[in-house]
Amino acid sequence: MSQWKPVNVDPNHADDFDLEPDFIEPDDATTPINKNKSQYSSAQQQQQNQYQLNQGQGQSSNSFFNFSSFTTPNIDLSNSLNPILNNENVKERKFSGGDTLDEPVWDTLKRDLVAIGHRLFSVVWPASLSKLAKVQQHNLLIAARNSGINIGINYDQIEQDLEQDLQNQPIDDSNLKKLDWDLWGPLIFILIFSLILGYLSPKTNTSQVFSSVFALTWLTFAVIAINIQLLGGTISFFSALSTQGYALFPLVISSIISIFIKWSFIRFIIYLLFVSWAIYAATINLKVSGVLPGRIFLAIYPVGLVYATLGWLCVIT
Amino acid sequence: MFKKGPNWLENDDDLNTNNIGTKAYIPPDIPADDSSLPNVSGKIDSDPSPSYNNEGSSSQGITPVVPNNFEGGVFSINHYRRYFNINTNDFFGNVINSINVISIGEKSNEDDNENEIIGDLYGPIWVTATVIFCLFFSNTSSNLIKSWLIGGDEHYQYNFGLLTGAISLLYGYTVLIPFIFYIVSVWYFKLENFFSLSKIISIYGYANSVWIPSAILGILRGLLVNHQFLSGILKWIVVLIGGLISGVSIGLKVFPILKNSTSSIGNDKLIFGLLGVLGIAHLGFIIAIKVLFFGDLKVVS
Repeated sequence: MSQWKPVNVDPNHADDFDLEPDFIEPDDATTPINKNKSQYSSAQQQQQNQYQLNQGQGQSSNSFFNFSSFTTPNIDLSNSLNPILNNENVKERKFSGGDTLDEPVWDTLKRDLVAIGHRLFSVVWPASLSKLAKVQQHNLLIAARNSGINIGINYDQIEQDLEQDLQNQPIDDSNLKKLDWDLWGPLIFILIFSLILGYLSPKTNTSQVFSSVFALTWLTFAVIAINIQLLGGTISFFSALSTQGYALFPLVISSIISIFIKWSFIRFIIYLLFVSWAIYAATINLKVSGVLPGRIFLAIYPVGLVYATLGWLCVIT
Repeated sequence: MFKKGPNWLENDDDLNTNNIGTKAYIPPDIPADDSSLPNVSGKIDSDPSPSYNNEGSSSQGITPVVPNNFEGGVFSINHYRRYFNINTNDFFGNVINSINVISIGEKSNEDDNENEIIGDLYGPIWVTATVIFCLFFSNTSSNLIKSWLIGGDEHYQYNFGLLTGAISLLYGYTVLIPFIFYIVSVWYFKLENFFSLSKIISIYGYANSVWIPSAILGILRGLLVNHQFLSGILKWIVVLIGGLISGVSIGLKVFPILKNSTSSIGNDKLIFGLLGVLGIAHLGFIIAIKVLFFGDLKVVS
């Protein structure tokens, strides 16, 4: 250390130290660079913000919740991947940002549980989605008019009504997170429902009833999801499946009640009540997910039929 | 909607690797500031890009684009949308049209548009499903009422096989008979100007809708538990209402085009043969429904 001597060189005279100024000539004029720079810094800022957002509240940071990706998809690989999924401009991907590798397992689980809870709440209290449903129907109405689809509705009149409604009460876009789908709801509710039906049926054909109800329910849900796809709109196959599965929740309750109540007449009243609840919840949820306005009845009718059949099985076992 | 930020794939002006550290790269597509939130209060952004307010969405149509062409091969779901291109009003119109037997002859000459030629498959699938549910509901609920009247409703056990049997019978009839009819007419007898296959299936499917009111009428037989004769009569009335009206509905819709086709190949007698075979098939269907859902064929059991 002590042997080190600073070299005193005048940079202006030494050839070895002939340093060029650290400057790269711009391709364009200076103003675009500044613009780019500012753009970049704002992008960095956004990224930072988003990252913090992800850290802070992992659940709600899904890009799908945001209207920007809702209306102008950036890179939607699902279009090229799966023909079943491609009828959607609504992005339906699970989680698209943030660092999930080194987060605790509990956070990962909690994110899914909270999402399931949100979707369940939209079934338990369907009125919470009604405003969003209105907005979505409004958008679909406009989309259908622009693409020239005849949905049997007088466009002008309905549009006026909707715009008036929207101006009176602005929507709360935090509800959009309920648009996401998963298959936990269908799995859990169909499983519980068919288990209870199997338990209620006579000992000789318990397993037959369980397996038939389980298989038939999945099959009809899939058929109905395809049916909703075929009727048009922006809903995806799995979104329809998820909606139907979550809206099965009232029927699960009614089946649990029918374990304790043996008298068919009371069961029948409960059946009417809970099936209409389930159908109402499914209607609102399907409206939000993007079924064309003039075809909501056609989309919801099979769902109601299946719920009526399943509920009736509860009554008569 | 949001400030047109750098598109990270196409625009390579601002690729900057300094930014990429140990964190995963997050495309800066989502602004987190408040200016990006949907503007629904009616205030118009200075930003000309599509916004979510009413004016923006209605003038530019940035909302989800709904596909309105039926492009794609037979393996794409879009191909089959042509069979489901139907609105709620059209659907109810078709249902009423099939039940209202008297005015079928007048209407069949008028409509020649695309939808009429193709028919739709929504009706056959879901009307038939409704009929299955109604027949099952009628059968089980009348048995339930019967067991109430006899006393104690713990004795009744429903037959799950009834449901699966009904599914096979009704869908089998609605799809197989039109299919065979189409194959025989077009490929064997080489009829021209014939229906499309989907149109025949559509006719058969919508004709099933008359079974719905008749099945609901059939619930009343649960009340006639002590009157064997009346109960048997009611069952036959229910079955005949459903069977005859649906048969007449099918016949009246099939007849004009079949007549046109057979006379064009110069074989006028063929029409009676074909209609006769369809009638026999329908009779078999009526009997099968009577046996499956309404006991056996006897009037007094």
